[in-house]
Amino acid sequence: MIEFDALKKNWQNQKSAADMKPDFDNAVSSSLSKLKKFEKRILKINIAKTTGIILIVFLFIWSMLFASPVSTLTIIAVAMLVIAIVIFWTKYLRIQLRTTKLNVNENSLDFIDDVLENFSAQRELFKKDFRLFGAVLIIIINILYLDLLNGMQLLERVGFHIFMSAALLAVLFVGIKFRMRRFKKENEPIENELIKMKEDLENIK
Amino acid sequence: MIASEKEKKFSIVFKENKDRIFRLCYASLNNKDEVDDLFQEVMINIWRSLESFRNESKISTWIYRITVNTALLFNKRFKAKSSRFMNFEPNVLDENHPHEDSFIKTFDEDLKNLHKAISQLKKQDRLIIGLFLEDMSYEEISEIVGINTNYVGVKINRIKSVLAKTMEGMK
Repeated sequence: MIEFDALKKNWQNQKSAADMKPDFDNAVSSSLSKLKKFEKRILKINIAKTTGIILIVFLFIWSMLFASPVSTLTIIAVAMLVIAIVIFWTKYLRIQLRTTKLNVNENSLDFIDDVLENFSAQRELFKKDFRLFGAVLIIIINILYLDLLNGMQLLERVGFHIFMSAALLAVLFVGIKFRMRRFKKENEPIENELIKMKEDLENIK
Repeated sequence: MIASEKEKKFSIVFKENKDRIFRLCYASLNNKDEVDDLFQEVMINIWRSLESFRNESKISTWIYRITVNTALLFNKRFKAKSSRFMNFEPNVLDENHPHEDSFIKTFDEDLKNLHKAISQLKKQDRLIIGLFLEDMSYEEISEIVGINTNYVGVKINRIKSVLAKTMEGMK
């Protein structure tokens, strides 16, 4: 007969590895100071990245709209491109950030739900949003080339539009395939494990 | 919360809870070599969540909640993925932390068998029984895991009978 009360006492008296090494506290505090430095570095990197993106977008708009005379169509296309990039990039970064800042304060079932929701958002981003972004990108590029190829013959222009669209489509197709394969390999096993855990915790028969 | 205040609070939380966190981390893993990594990840999550602790629950319940959630998601593959994004790999403990062998050497026979039996359970069951062995009440476990108190009772009784059977077989 197993005495769980005695085992409980025994369990709680286990000499912890944390107690067995005098350097343990120092090691943890050194790890934390490393973390603090890392967090500061990440903040600096994020500020630099955001500044860089703003600068690139600004230069792009400036060169497209003010460096040479442009049509209203080009202005619309550039505006659409900037909006599309900002929307997609914000969504992408938000999901990435959520992955690193999961709320571990919640109860486990809510926590698992959050993680699963995050996985599903990542999948949807590439299944739906990225495709939509790709379609918008193809339309925008075609609008831009409508202006740029103005001097060429109709057949050449049509050929160019078809080639550009096909090339973009191919790049997007490969990008989505590659991303989905990575998702299947990296995320799906964890996702399946969490789904099983959730089912097991919820369904007591 | 200003930095030094946070550090002070963390240091108290760490000193008072390191043993129970370590025990739960150890119980939750099948591969005991990963216990340092998991322990460190729990510490990092506690550090990051410290400002959000509002004294609405007992500190031990809060600590266990973080430990259980970190352990549930602890996965080398996921860790590699998030570290790639975060570019942060804390490994300070590796050289200072005693290997699990020296930890297990301090166990008596019953404890060794208990650990062996626990390692045969599902991850979520290993954590639930770990909380039970830490003397958490059913209500507290329910608060941590998010399942109803009656379910906690049913679950623990089932786990206990599986453990008893496995341990009897070891004698």
